[in-house]
Amino acid sequence: MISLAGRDILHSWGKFVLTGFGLGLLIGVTFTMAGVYRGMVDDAKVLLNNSGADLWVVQKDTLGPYAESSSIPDDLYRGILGLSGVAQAANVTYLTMQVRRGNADVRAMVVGFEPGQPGEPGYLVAGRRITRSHYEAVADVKTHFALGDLIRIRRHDYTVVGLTQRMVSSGGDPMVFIPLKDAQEAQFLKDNDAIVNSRARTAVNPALNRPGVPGLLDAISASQTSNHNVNAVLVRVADGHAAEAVAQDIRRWKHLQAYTREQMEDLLIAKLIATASKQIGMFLMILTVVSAAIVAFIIYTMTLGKIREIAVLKLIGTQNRTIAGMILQQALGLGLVGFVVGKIAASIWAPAFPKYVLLEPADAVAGFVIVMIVCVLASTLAIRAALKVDPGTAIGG
Amino acid sequence: MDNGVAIHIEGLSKRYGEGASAIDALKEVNMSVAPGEVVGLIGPSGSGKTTLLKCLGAVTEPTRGRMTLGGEVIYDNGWKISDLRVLRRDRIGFIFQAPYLIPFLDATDNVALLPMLAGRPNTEARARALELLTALEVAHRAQAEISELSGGEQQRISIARALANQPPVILADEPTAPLDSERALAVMRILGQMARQYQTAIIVVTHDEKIIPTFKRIYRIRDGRTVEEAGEGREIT
Amino acid sequence: MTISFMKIHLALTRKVWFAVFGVALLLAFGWVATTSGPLAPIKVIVTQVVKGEVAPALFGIGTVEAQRAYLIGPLVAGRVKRVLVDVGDTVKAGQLLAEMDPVDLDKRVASTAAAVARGRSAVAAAEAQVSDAKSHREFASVEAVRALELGRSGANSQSEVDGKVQLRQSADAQLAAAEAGLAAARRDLSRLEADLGGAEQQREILRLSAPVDGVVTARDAEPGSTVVAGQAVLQLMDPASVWVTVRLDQGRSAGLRVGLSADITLRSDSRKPFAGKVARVEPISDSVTEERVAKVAFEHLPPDASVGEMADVTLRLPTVGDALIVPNASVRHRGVQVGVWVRAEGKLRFAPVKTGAEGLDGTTQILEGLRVGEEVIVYSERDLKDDSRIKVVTSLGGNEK
Repeated sequence: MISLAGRDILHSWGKFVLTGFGLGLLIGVTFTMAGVYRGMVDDAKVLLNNSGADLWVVQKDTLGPYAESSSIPDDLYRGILGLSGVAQAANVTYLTMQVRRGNADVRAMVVGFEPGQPGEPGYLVAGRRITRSHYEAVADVKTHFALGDLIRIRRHDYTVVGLTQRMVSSGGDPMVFIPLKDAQEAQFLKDNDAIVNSRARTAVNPALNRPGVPGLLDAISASQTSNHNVNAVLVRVADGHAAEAVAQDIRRWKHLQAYTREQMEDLLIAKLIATASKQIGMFLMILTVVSAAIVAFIIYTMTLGKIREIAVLKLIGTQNRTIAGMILQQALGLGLVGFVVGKIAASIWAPAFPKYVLLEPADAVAGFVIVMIVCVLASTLAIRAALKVDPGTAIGG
Repeated sequence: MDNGVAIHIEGLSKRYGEGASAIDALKEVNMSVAPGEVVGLIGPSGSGKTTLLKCLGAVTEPTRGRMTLGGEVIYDNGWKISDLRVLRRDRIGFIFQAPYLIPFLDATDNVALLPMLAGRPNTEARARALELLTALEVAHRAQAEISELSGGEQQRISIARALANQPPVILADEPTAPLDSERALAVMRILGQMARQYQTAIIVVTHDEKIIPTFKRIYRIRDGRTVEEAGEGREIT
Repeated sequence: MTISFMKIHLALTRKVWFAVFGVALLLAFGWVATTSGPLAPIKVIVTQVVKGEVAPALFGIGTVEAQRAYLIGPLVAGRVKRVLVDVGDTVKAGQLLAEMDPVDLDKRVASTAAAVARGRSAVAAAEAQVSDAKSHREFASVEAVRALELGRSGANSQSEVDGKVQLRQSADAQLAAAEAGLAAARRDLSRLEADLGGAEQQREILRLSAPVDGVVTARDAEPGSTVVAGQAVLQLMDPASVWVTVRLDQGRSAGLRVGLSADITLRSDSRKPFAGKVARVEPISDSVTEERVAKVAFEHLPPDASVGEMADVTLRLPTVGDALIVPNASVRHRGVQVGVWVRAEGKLRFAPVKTGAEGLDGTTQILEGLRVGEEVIVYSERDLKDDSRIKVVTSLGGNEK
């Protein structure tokens, strides 16, 4: 017995392939949506992994430093270093802001870090690590900065000396790493106009500007413009110690909260991404239904176009089973072409998306199974129509 | 093929509908055709010839009567065969008003399809197809796509298809309707040849004046009733 | 049975086209599956460990300051009468810069001077009295002697002699009194002269003059304003004493010592760095900002440096030669361990290392953990693990815009 489905496909292969291509693009969009979700989760995981930390110590009662803003004094890390089980503890600051290069602004998360400590980027794709204590930066390639570029953050210019890849905030913004002190100034120091205003206001306050105490005004102005806060302390736990146990120790300090890697993942994924994931989930469902409807429509139309042949086949003695099988095989073939085209298309256009799109093999397998199931269900409409055809219509028509 | 009769029907009736609005499409039709014989079934439209063909082709169930195929009773006030589809496949050949070939199969496979449906291996089925195509002088088009064939070639292939499973009876529905007289007579000549060669009974439904003289025996049907007549039996050259 | 060649050709073409397309699709699918996504190998760039030089240096930002700066102001509270110089003026040592309001001090000086003059006349009067008393005593003495002689010769009565002796005694006493009065008048005069001197000195203090040659850097009080003791009216600096106060991270200041040569880049003119040397390393560091402080002097003073201007200072440490060097991008952390990923026999290995000097260009000296010629991973697309599959390339995403 020959394959009727195969012969039909071979006969009008151009139309079949074109239809499969169109369906494939729709399936590719579906894969990409799933990839966007996976990319968002990966962004969160990568953010946590790249920091090199086992614990995040933040202001008490906040979900910081990523999900909520947190501010702690910058000398707390010394006390944390003294706890048992702590191998490294370092200050970090995070601030999402506009970074300017030439005339263009780039939205980036500016990270203040200490060299050799948690918070420093773990690997580079070009250039070198920061060697000077000020005014050098390492940027993620997503900023489109090049080595040697001069970028402006708040009031200073920084030279880009190194580039990293896949260092992004949980919102997908690329990161720019600068020395901690520069980052503290950028985050907590106001701009020049505000400083001048604040100095003038202090100068007219008679309690602060006392003639009998020369130097008082200067000291007060200096203290107003100093910055001694950071957003978090990142901790690396020593070998042989449990992160949660060290976190419990830190929490006993009355004004601090400490999160382990699992708790941070939970925070980021459950809280930050929750709404977006629901949205994407709904979108995926709609896309699947639309794809099913389109496959059903295509197969139904293809079948209707063969109604006379089906009547003849039934008349000359073809089993219903064979005819149904032909339609089903065509639907599955279409689904297969659509899947392959969709997977290829998604892989080709995924890097062009502004946010990270992660196409996992497990998702592709699941997608294949769903595409096949959808094709089976979608073909039932056409199969019902084919089975209802009266073979007698071939006679006397 | 026992009894020298390929197909025999007695008192076949077909009523559509119920009660006052019922229509009797066939009223007590009797017919007998011998193996190798080509008979004409002639009548105007609406006379019931299509209904009769459908009953003979086991696609419509008659209301009453008796049908025998090659000596076996297939209908006696109720179908006596469990699988009508198999009956149609193996024991009845169909030639339609238009060739109705399957467009996505080539000429050979269109014909070989029937033996394949009957379970024959592909090589055997194709060999049989080629044999028939040769007999019908279209073997040179065996690999051709249907869309490239002329009307006459397509029709010969459809005749080969009807013969593919060596059925005892072939039902031909207006096979010459679209043809000119030369081609029409050529078709009738081929049908006569095939009938004799394979000892198949062929019932040709037609109202084509060009070919009616070629029948030796005719059944006239009118208002659901048939009357047997002798035909001219003109030789076709 | 003739079979048209054309028909076979067309049928074959269709099948061939379909097969070609199908194979192309499968190949594309395979390529996509293996080169993108999580199944693909990680692209890396490698380099070899070589021997070379490391030019370590210390970097810090600093502020231009004047080593010697002076606050010029009054010793007592008062009102500013006049200010003679303004910001930017060059002054010489001793030059009068400003003056406080003397108020009644001038009148007090005048009155004290008048008192001194009066005191002088009192001394003159006392001196006249003394000479008068002296001459009176001379006469009384002579009379007394004659009286005594006459008394002995019997010409005078005893009472006349006693009377003349008594006159002499009283003249003595008057002389002593007059001398005492003169001494008192003299002491009074000294006191008044000292008062005058004091008043004049107070007057001097109200005159503010430059202690050294220098440049005025601030004019903090205008004529008519009241200032307290110790409050500056003017600020002065010695421009030859301008240097840079540099702050270096404590953790990155190993090797800091007096005498290191320095490159100073002023914020106002970043094209041309100035040469300098570390003049002093402050013994007290800043424990709040965790920085050490050093003073770097200019070799040749820049003509337009302004105090308070920011400067980037690079201190050059002695070059380390014949060292195993790697780019600092290859030094990574795995947990707490510092090390380098090494590629040996097609497998990855994390080699813990101990680093030594580091140059500002990123060249890092390896003290322990690597050998010459070993291949190390410098750049990678993603974080590496022991079982990562890698693919060596020559450039990564960093070189594309």
